[in-house]
Amino acid sequence: MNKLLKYLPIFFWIIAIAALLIGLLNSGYQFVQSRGAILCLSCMGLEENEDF
Amino acid sequence: MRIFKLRFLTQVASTLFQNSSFQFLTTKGPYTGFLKSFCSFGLNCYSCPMAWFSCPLGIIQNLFASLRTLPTQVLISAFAYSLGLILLMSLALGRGICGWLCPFGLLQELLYRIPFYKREILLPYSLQRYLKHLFLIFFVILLPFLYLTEIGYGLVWFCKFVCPAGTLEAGYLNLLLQPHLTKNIGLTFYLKTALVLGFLILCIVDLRFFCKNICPLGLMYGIFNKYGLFRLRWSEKKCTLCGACEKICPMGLRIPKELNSVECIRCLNCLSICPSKAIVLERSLFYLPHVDLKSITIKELKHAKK
Repeated sequence: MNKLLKYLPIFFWIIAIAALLIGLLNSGYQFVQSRGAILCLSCMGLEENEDF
Repeated sequence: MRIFKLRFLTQVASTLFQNSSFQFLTTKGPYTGFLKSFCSFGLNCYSCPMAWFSCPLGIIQNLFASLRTLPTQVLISAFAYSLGLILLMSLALGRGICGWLCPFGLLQELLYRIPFYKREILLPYSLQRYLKHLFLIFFVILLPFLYLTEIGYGLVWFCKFVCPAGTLEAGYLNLLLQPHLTKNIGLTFYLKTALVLGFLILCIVDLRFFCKNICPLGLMYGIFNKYGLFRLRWSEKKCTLCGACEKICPMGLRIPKELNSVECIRCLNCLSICPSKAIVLERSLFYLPHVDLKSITIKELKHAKK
């Protein structure tokens, strides 16, 4: 069990790098960019009126 | 003492670096370019007119809010990319991001310097330890996923109803830049303003009140404190049990028991203040549980040695 625990961080690193690569190759960054680029009224605590 | 200055300078540099877009001078809105595909270090609202990067907490909420509307392939790639980015940041720096790079962390430390009534605020029951877990589970994951608006898209609950960084950095600045937004001011805005004021006062009274009790992003980073690249190591042989480390810890941790706990923001104050150099920062890709520290605190050790 302790031996397995020892390698747990390596496992996390592999998951992180693999996930990032999968995301990059499939243009996952576009989602982040599109959400990050909007003027988020909710974040500001403003109401999203229909006539806006 | 050098480490205190170094950390303060790093915090200031990080805040300026993350908020140095001046595109708003011409567009009156936030930056919308390629850098927005990266996550910011710490709590930094992406709707802030000067922000270069996207807020990781906002992205996670948006991901859960749009789970039912996005096509599967887009969903998988967006999820993989966000997970990869946040996991890499957490593994590389852990909650060191909170201590060294987060702009909202810097604001809280500056607020605490205001001479005012000071006291450690302890929440009742187990809320002290688990309130931010509740915010992460409900406001960041479950509610954005479960509660859908009329257009079939979830709400970013934490951003909308809790996050003080959004109101401070984005809300007021954008209202100044785009006065027509004032027609969107409603009850939520007033409630959030009251909440922001409350948080600011609590941060003046108790150092990093928001980090300690509310911030779900800090919790996410903190989970990897034990498994990240950098960890603190305490040496029983060198420790003189002076207790200086516990006194200087801004998070009020019991050392050495909670040295690498979720709460440790890696400010390195304990390492810097220790007269016998009993605490060191080690770098390792492997998990090395050196001693069983489940029930060790300085007080208990002193008592045992008597």
